[in-house]
Amino acid sequence: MDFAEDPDHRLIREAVREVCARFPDEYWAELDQTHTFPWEFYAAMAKGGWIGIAIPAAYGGGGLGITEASIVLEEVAASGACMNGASSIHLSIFGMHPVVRHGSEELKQRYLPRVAAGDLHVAFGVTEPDAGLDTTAIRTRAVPDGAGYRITGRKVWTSKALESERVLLLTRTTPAGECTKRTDGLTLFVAPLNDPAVTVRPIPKLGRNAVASCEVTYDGLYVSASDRVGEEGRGFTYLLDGLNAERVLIAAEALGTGRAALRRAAAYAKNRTVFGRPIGQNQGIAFPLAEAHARLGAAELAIRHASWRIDQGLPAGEQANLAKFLAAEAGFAAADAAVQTHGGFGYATEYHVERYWREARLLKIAPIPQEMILNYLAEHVLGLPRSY
Amino acid sequence: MTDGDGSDLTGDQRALRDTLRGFLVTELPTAALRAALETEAGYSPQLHTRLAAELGLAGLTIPGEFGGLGLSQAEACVVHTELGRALYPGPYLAGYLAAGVLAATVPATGDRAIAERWLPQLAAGSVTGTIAAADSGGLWSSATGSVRAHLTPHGWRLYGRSWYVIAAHVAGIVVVSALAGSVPAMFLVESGAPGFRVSPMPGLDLTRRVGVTAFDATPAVLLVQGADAAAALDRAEREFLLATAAEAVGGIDWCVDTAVMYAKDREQFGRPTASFEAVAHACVEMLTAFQDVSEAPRYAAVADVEGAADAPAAARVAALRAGQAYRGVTQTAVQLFGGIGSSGEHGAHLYYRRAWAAERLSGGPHARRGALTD
Repeated sequence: MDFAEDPDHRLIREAVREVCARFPDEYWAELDQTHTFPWEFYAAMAKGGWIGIAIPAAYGGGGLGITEASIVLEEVAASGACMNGASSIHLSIFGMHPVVRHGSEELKQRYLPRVAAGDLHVAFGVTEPDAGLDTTAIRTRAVPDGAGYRITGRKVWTSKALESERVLLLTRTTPAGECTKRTDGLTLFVAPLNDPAVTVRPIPKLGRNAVASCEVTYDGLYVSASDRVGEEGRGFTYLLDGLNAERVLIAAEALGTGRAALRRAAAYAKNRTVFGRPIGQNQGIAFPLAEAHARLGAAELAIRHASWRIDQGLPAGEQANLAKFLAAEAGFAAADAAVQTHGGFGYATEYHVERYWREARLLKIAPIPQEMILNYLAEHVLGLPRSY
Repeated sequence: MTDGDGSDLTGDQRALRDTLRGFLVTELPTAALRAALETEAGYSPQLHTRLAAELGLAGLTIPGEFGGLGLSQAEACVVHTELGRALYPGPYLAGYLAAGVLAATVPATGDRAIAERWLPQLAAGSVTGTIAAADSGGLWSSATGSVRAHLTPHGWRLYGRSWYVIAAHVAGIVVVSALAGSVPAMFLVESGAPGFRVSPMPGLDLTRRVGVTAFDATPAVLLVQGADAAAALDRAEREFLLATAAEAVGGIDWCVDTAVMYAKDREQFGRPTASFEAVAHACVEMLTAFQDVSEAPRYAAVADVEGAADAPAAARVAALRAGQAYRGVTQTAVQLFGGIGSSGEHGAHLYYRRAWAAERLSGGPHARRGALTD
């Protein structure tokens, strides 16, 4: 076992920190308040080559692994950019994974270099109002039409749909009733969003307001067959491939958000004087912060373990789920302790911890709720009967 | 201290509480309690006789016509709280439950013979009773048929076993819940009866011994059957829940008082440990836990006395919440006492054991939640 930090990883951390340092808390607070996408930040990250970090070098990316991608996202979140920052680049960093793994050479050549360069924004359209986590129950249909398909249906929680040119869209091409397995008959497309057949409506929400999540309606959208990812009917399998990596990246974002909160809280506890001494001298203040640090430390180790396994090509379902669970809990607990430490000011926008808190809360729900993680661990790790 | 002035209690109830608390503080200090636990019976029969007869507690709720004081669950709640506070290890609760069932047979059957024979002896403390109602999972239900009754030319005979029977090792009479065919029934068995055997169920709680009672063609007297038996079992379980909830409140009270006193006395780094916020806050958490649940058993007891529709639910809620709080508070107490708290000499571990074990005698929190959900 070797816990020494890889020198390359340290360089990545330092470099990402340098970029993020140009975008202070005030920048994020304003964008969050005005519901504005962080274009300058995105451009700076693209210029540094960070957005294409996990895309293969042959398509203009960095060709690095999930470990490196998770470090980038953790540092972005830890800078105080939290989920506003991480979500603005997350899908570009990893969303195209199914295309990398299963797309035709022509499809990859057409899209991946543009994603890696940061010039093509992509969204991810899977969840539907009536399907939720039960992905195979989606009702968005893609029906053959000439040299392509016509897509009709409705998706929810499509993040960045307003800013993106394309969406990685999951559709049903064969009705579930005609398939041997419900997981068959689903097909993935790199579909256009700038089309009159597409209507995008942002969903008002608690936090992470610089990056909108949207309800998207597809009303007979034409998609060329050349924009289909891999084979027709195999879309569900293609998605499964990336789930573990996705969980690890989300975990890293939760970890970073928690670190940002703890940094602010510890600084405040040291400087704020009440009853003639720093409030951090009170155990009632100090212990929750120390505990938050301990829990973030445990989550970090779980993330490193999971990302290492994924990069080694080892099975990582247990580790990835565990990392997501622990990090989401630890990140939120740290943000909550930070708000409490700040007392009344914790509620004030000026001190930023309320923004961290709102964003940390998201990770206990998205992209998969903690309860479903426990379901996974209960069923696949402990061998207990499936409950749903 | 945490009792405040007990303003909800009547003057008589306050006097009862103060008398009993004074008696137990004097007669059952921690050293005496530990010594009693080492004995074969697990309690002091002399002390129990004084408590039962001298203070008249054994007949507390037994009607006056059968030699008791004829008081209600509200007074019983006061007594259970104090006994729980002192972790009184004698067979009080077991006898209380048995007497409750026997007293209920009179209005149910119109037959006074059994009540006249046994209740005065229970009230005087000359005989100890208990109730055998739980199956191997701790659930109080005759439906599982863990004990079955058959009518023979010589009378009723019992077959089977009951678990978690409190103070079975010293009981003179046992009230048994059984199935007669497919009909629920309650019987009375004398401990000397043929085919009756008690084996200990060694457990976590050192201050309350429980056992398995086995019946093999054991002669028994029928008390009630059918709907009356089901009602009697329900009522006994409710009495048990009320009692354990009250005991939990008493135990929590002891933990708060003792831990706060210790935190004020014990010095570390040149100052009382109570001056550290983490310790002070933990004490406050214990106090709020106490205040949170202290009135619940009393409310449930009074609701029962008044025959309120929500009385069964109130008893279950009281047992559930008080049990939960008791477990949490004893855990904190052991932590606050540091190394001392986990030593055999200190009383804290006895409360911790009681908190975890008490609810299990009737199926545990799970059974409460299940019943409340239904």
